Order: sequence, then C-alpha cells, then structure tokens
Amino acid sequence: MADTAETIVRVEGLRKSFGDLEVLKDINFSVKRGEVVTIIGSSGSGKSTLLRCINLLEEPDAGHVWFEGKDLTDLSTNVDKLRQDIGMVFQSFNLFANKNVLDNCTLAPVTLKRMSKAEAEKVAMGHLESVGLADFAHADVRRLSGGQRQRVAIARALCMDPTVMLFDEPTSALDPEIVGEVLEVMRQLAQQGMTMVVVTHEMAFAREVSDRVVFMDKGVILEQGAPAQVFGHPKEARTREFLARYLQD
Amino acid sequence: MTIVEAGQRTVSFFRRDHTYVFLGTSALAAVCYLLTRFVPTLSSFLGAGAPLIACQGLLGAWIVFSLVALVVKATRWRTYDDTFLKKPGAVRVTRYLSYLAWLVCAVVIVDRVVLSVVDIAHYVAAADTRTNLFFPDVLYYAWKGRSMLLQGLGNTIIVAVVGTLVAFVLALLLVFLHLNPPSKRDNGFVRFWKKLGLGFYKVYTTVLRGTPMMVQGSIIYFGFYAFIQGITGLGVSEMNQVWSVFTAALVTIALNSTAYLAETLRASIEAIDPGQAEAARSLGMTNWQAMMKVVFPQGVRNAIPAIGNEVVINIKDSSVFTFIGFFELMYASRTVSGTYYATTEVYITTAVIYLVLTMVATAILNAIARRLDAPTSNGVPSSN
Repeated sequence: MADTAETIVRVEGLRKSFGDLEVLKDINFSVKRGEVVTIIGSSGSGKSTLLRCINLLEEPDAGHVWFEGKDLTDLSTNVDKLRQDIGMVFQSFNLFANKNVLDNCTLAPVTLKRMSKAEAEKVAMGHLESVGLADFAHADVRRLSGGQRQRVAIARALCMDPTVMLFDEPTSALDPEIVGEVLEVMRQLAQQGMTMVVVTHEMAFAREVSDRVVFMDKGVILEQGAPAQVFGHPKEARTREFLARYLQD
Repeated sequence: MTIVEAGQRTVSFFRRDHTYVFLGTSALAAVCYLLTRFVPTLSSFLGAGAPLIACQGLLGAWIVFSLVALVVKATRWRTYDDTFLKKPGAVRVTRYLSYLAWLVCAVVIVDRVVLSVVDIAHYVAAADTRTNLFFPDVLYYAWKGRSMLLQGLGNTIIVAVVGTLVAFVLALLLVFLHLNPPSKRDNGFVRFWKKLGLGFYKVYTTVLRGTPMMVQGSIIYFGFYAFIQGITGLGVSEMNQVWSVFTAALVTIALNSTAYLAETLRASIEAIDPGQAEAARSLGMTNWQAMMKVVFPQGVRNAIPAIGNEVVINIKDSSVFTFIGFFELMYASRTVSGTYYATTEVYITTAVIYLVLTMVATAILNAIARRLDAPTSNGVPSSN
C-alpha cells in the first residue's frame, strides 16, 4: 500500500540550529498517505524538532517542507491554513485550561471552519466517544488524569479532520500504568488508516503498529526501514547500541 | 528538664481548658474592671451607683474564681481530671458563667467606651473652641472640617476609581502592541508598524514607571495649560473650565496606571503556559486568534487581583495631586489644618479615612475577584 500511495509530507535538506547547536543536519524524509512512521532515537537526537518542523511550529533555517504539494517554508504560503489539516499531539497535552473538554474540541472547528456550535459539538462528541471520554464532555480539563487529558488532546486534533497526525512523545509525561490507554487509542487510529508520524520511546508500540521506523542520531536520520528490519537486523552499530539499552528494560 | 521542656509544660498547663474560658475571660474582665474606674460621661446608664457596683462585683468574682481554678490546677496537676472543676456539670456551669462575664464586659464597654465617644463627639460638635485634649480635639477638627474632608474624599474616590478603569481599557489596548511580535512572514509595512508599536510600548512603560506621578502630574497640568492657552488665548477662568486640575489629575492617574497595568497584564499573559498557544497554532489558528481565544482570557483573569491593587494604590497615591492644587483628601486635610491651626489632630483623621477607604476597597475587590473565580490578594499593596 505504502509503495503506490501518494506522498503527503516531504522534507528536503532540512537544517535547524538553536544557537551554536545544530539540531537537524540536512534531513530528507517523507511520509505517504496511510503510512504510520515512528521516529526513535535518544534525547537530543533532533526527532521532536523534526516533527515540529513539519507543521512549522519550529521555523527551519534551511530546506523545504512540502505538505500535499505545497511548500510550507515558502514565505507566501498561508501556514495557518495548512496547519488545519496537520493534527498535532504534544507531550504535555497543552489543553486549553479555560475551557471544558467539549469546548477544547470545538474551539478550532467553530473558529476556523465556520461550523455552527451544535454541528461542531456533534462531531466532537463522536471523537470523544471513540477515545472513550464522552462522559467527560463537560468536565473541567484540570480535573482529568494525564491519560484522559492526552486522549482529549487526540480528540481535539481529530475534530479538525486532519490528513496527517503528528505525535510528539505523547506518552512520555504519563504514568507507566496509564500509557496503555493512550497507545490503544493511537493503535485504533492507525488501524483506521490515519497517516501518522509518531516520535516515541515506546519500542513495543513502534514495532507493532508502525509501517516504518526511523532512527535518528545527532541530527541525522541514521537508518530507516520496516520495524522487523530495524529492530531485528539493525545495520548501524549506533542503532544496535541504542536498541540494546531499551531492550534491557 | 531543659528550658524548652519547662516552657512547653508551662504552656500546656495554661492552655489546658483555660485558654478561652478562664484566661481569655479573665483578661477581658480585668480590662473592663479598670474601665469601670473611669469617670462616667453624660449618657452613661451604669453611672456610679448600684448597677456599676454590681458589674464590678461580678467581674471581680469571676477573676477570683479563675484564680481559684488556676491554683487547683497547679496544686493537683496530676489528678486534675478528678477534681470538682472537671465534673461534667461543673464544666458546663463554668462555661455559662464565662458567658455571663462576657455579657457584663460588653455592657461595660458600651457604657464606658462607645457612649463616651458619642458624648465627646456631641460635646465637640456643639463646642466653639478646642478642648486641648488630644482625642476630643481629633473629633473636634474632624467635625469642623467635615464638609471639606467629605468633598476631598469624594474627589479621591472618583479620580482613583475612574482613573483605574480608564487605565485598564488603555492597558488592554497597549498590551496588544506587545503581543504581536513582528514575524518573518509579515510584509515590510506590517512589520514596520509592529516594530513601532513594540518600541512605543517599551518607551511608554519605561518613562511612566520611571518617573514620580507628582512630576508627571505637574508636567501634564502646567504643560497642557500653557499649550492650550497658547493656541486658544483663553483667560484664566475659561482655562479652568477647559483644563481644570481635576481633568489633569484624572488624565495623569489614568496614563500612569496604564503603564503599570500593561506591565501587569503582560506578565500574567506571559505566565500562561506557551504550550496552549502552540496547540492553538497547531490547529490552524492565527497568532491573533490563539491570543484572543485562549491566552488573553486566562491572562486577564490572573491579572484581576493586580488590577484591584492598582485601585488601592491610586486611592493612596492620588494624594500627590495636592501639589498641583487638586482638592482631594490630602489637599482638603491641609486646608482644614491651615484653617484651624491644627496639624496632627487633623492628619490622624485623614489617615483613618484613607485606611478605612483602602480596607473597604480591598474587601470589595476581593469579593469581585472571588465571584470571577480569580485568585485574591491579601493586605494593602505598596505604593507605585
């Protein structure tokens, strides 16, 4: 499937530095429709920065990011408009603290898609149902657990009906016991054919769910391929070293 | 036994069922007993006869009873729970007796304190000259200068409240200049205006917060006075209509508070987790939409206590407009002081009025903040 499908995200020659620290060094990377790509690597390898460059939350220093054929890095492109189709889920949830669960989900559709409130609420309730939080629609987000918050964040992103979903370490801020409920929602999403790019430290999830695994180290993509190949027969010594440390746990 | 242990034992000895019933009541009874020794004033209903002696007797009896209880406790500390004082009936009776003592104290306080103040106030209100006693004289001058003080009080409240409200609106507008940083994607024209706005914000807040309000008031009053007169050529009485000290004071306090409130708003807005704005941007909202729908409402709500503080600060700081001759509470006090050749007696009244005013304002503002579910502040804020 992944071979014939069209490419919807393409990154070319991407460079990004924070001060003297070069975080991304000439990255080339693409995602096809329906593909689930996980990006793994140690902290500081640049994987989160790469993800944040895809929707231009981080402005690259050089290179191009194409989304559905449009170049986001072109200064004349309306990035806000394109971001409506790129959902993102953050490590620290980033729910709107002044709104309840349902309003978190409906704010963007009502503001940007000219949807009526009732219509947006209907859509939102559907997504809250699918993440198992329909009963919490009117709850204050500050009263939810971490796992519930992250599921609300996923529902909120889905309400914009995105073409691709970016996950930036979605389970890293969660208790180990709660990680499962968020991964389960992501697994369902993958099965429904959502295009996903996931930065994660959950190796079991990467192995099981993704179509392709990308290993990053020191700002470059060191190796990528099918999970069985990257996890089973890593080509690079650095990849083996990294995986060995994780598989010990 | 160390000193600390001895101290702790002593404290526990006294605290044991004596804090309120015996110790507190006895202290109050002793104070009230002393009050009964003062000469009664005109409207005293206890007078110096039988009712007074009855009160004194009851208070004295209570104090003696407390001492007996204390001695019993001290001598029979180990078996205290078995003494007659700890019998359930005795405990209840003791408590009722303490209520009676409090009641007697209340009567004495009304008779010797409240009614005395009323009598003195009556006396000084009718008097033609000062009494040469400090407290009656405070009341005497407060009464003599009441119309001026009330007028000054009114002006102080108007300038502080209206000035802060105007400042809040201006600060909301001003802080927008700071929330719209120039970005790479803006065209040159937009970027120029954004930079200009940011520069104006910085210069404005620096200058207005870096100079005393007394100086600002002087420049605004005298500067605009000369400016308007220069253009229009109006005479003094017409000028006082067009550009009065009241207008100048209001303008000054509004412009001054705008700088402080804008900085307060900016700080509360910047304190909102940037992740929320990022999430809004990731959903496709513009920087402006993210600010208006998500960040700004939360920032303003967190700033509510600081806005209330600004009202209280302005109540106090409007006293500097005495300098340009604006008739607020301080200027009124100075006028009263000059009229009657009295200083401390008058300014004590001024201080009490300011204190009551700031306390009432703080209470009102905290009630408003609670209604809006915002954090509340405690105490009276320091001056700008």
